[in-house]
Amino acid sequence: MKDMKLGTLSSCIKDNQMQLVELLGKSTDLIIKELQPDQATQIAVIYIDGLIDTQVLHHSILFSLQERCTPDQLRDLDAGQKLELLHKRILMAGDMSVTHDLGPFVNQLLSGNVMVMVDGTPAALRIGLPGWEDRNVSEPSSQTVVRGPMEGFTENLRTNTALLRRKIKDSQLWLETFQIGRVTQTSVSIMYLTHIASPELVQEVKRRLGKIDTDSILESGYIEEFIQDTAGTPFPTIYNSDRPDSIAAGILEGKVAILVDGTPFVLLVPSFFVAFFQSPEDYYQRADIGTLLRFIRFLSFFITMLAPSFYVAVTTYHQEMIPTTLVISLAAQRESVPFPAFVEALLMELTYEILREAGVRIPKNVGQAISIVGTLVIGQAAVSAGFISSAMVIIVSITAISSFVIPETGMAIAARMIRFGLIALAGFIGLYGILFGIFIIVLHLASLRSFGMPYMSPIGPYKANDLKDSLLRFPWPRLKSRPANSKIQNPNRQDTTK
Amino acid sequence: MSSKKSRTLSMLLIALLAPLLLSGCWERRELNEMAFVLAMGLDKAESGYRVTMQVVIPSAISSQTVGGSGGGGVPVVVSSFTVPTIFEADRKYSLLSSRSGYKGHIRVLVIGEELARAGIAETLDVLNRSREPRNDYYVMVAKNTTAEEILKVLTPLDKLPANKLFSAMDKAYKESARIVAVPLNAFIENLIYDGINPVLAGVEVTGNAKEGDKKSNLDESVPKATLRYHSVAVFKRDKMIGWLNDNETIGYNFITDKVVKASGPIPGNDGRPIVIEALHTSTKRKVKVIGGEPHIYIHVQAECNIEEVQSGDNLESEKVITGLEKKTEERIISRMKSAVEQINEDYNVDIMGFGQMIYRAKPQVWARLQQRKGDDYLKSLPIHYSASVTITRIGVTDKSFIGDIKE
Repeated sequence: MKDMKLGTLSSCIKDNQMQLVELLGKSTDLIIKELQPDQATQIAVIYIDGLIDTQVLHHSILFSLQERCTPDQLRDLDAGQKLELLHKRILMAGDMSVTHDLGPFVNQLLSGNVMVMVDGTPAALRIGLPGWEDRNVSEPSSQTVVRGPMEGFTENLRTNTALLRRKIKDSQLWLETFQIGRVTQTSVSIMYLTHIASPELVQEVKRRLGKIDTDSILESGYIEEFIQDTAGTPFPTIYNSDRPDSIAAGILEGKVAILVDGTPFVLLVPSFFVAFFQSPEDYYQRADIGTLLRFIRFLSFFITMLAPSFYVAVTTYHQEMIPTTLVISLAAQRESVPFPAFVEALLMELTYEILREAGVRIPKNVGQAISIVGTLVIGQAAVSAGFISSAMVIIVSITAISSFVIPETGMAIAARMIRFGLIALAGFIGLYGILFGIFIIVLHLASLRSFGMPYMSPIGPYKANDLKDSLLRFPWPRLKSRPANSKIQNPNRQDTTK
Repeated sequence: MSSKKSRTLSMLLIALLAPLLLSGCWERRELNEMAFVLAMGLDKAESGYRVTMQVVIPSAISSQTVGGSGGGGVPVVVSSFTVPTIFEADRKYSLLSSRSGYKGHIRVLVIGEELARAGIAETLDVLNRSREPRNDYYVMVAKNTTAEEILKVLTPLDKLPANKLFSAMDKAYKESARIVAVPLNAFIENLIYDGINPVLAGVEVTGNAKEGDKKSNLDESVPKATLRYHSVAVFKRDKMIGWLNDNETIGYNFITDKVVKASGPIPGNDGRPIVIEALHTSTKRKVKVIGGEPHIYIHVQAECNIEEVQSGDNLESEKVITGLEKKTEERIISRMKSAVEQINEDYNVDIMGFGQMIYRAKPQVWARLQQRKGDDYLKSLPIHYSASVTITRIGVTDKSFIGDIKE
């Protein structure tokens, strides 16, 4: 609440309390504990119930205030000195500071701090004691791997920064925190390796974060939309992950991680097209396996995007391209299908999207129902009822399965959206339309930028050296340099002086 | 300012691109609205042509038919039309069919012998011109019968007769060398090139042709009517002038480097046959001009296996094998020689393409030859044959067990 002009704290503790209660609308979770170690001293301990660690509060703060704060010590001291005494000698706590203004006071109170005031001085002691209920560090849900670390980010910003610090034990890993959101006051941290990340990039990230003006940041998606280079694209230009290892790898390549309190999804800028096809596992398995897996992912991306439109184009415009026996078999399947292949494809893809969305939203204990309905309805019944051809079911299935191969959901969703456009183009003008569509997509991709860096790098601006870890994955001993595509300061991974 | 400009620009672009969609999908055709013409037959009619189209019935072929009983009924329907021009047949077809004919999947084109003898160039233009067919289908001549008769015959193993004809051709020319596989584009090329004349495979109906078009033909282990390839039609320009027999065809194939596999019996030392199969053969042809006259050199290289032995020869002996190699070489040479002689004698057309070789190697020599001899150059053309044969394998046993049988 940088802009909240509430004035300074009053020296009268009662006034402050009144004002606070007023300000928070008599909220019932505001707890004010009054203590009176001697006749002349009034101390108030103020906190929001549920946001702080009550155990520590009782055993450490209140204990020291009541047992270690004797009237002898307080004698002959004025209020300011008493506060000083509490701060320096009596209170057993690590994270402490003094606050004079009401604005920050309220802000700190609401973010898990215990405030201690002494009557007669216009200042308050802040004791950092956040202790709300948190999820434990658990397996990341969005990007699972067979081999590799099984820990994921949590909703707690501090836990997340700690997870990254545990991976990169370097003094050059810098952390800066901002409060964004007029109302939510969400903590947003950026982490980067100061000797690798380019200063301009860090500057730019800070500039874009600073420009955000909104009332709320509830998830990193808010930040992503505010700071991305352009909104007019289906492709994600900022990578997100809930895996500390993939974010740490990004930081080590000179990228900047943006952590948002309250979400396990951490952003990484700048991000390039190829990064969305890389799974951390590529680096943990042997290089040949990693390369093969990447090829499979790119292939899947094309299948997801093109399979239905290709089917539509070929069956309605280019029948001569299909082997004779297959075309006869396809014709036999379509014998009683009432719709054109284009409508059939659209219908089936739409049905699948509905099923998929239902699968995500449906309560877990009803989930079985949808799988039965799904398989039976689009699998068997639709075919035997003559609604659609079984070839179309195969196409939709392979499309659906392929979309799950892409490790980053943002990219998979992009492919799914583009798919519909391509089906329409294929329905209009066949393969020519698909080619037209691909042409536009490629042009579009080539024009995209992520934090000023070309999105298609290292393919767009061709950088042979960076191809070693983009489409391919070379063995680690041969990955001597960091990808140069993020304008890093120090390109060498290994000691080159040897 | 610039964003306003780019907005105007993109709106303009959309406005320009949108009309593209107005043309719509005029060429769109659904699979179940098409009649796939798998084979076409051309015959001579009293006036104009008789065009036969063999159209597949998809639901009768596929076991995966939706909402109906699959697999029943005849797999194809054959329609014939007497028309003044070939294209007219398409239009006539639409009068009797619920689906429009689609020629993109033609597998074979059958030409009746009568029409072939009368000349076929005019009839092929429409197929060569149309953008639908793929141009890699095989062309053949219906021997002693009409194309219509051939296309009516139902075939048991491969349910689609057109497919059977196509696949059988594909196998036959590779395995026996007794047939030639000529796609339409190759036929037309040979037709228009100087110094070469085209050939086509012959196809005939054996058995009772009248029974071939009934479904009962599929219900017997010995079909009443069967389609089989037999002999090769020789063309002079676009007119057929006669047939080559099997031996001539093998010789022809050796000369034109079209043999993939060929086999034949060689007499052993005791006069009984040993069958040798050539597995890899290649023919090198060269033109040399000696004293102003072009000479053709043909060299065949073959790697052979012994497949069958009825003779008592000792195959373990190096000498016997070398002897067999020698005999095989002689046999291949005599095959080629007699083929050329026979072709010269019977037809006097250069289907081997010697003239074209000369033209490509020495255009002036070819021009002179043409000037002096016209189309008769073949008879006096000196041709030198040679062959080198190696027998690499004799099978899993050596000497035949026949010699060991006790009297």
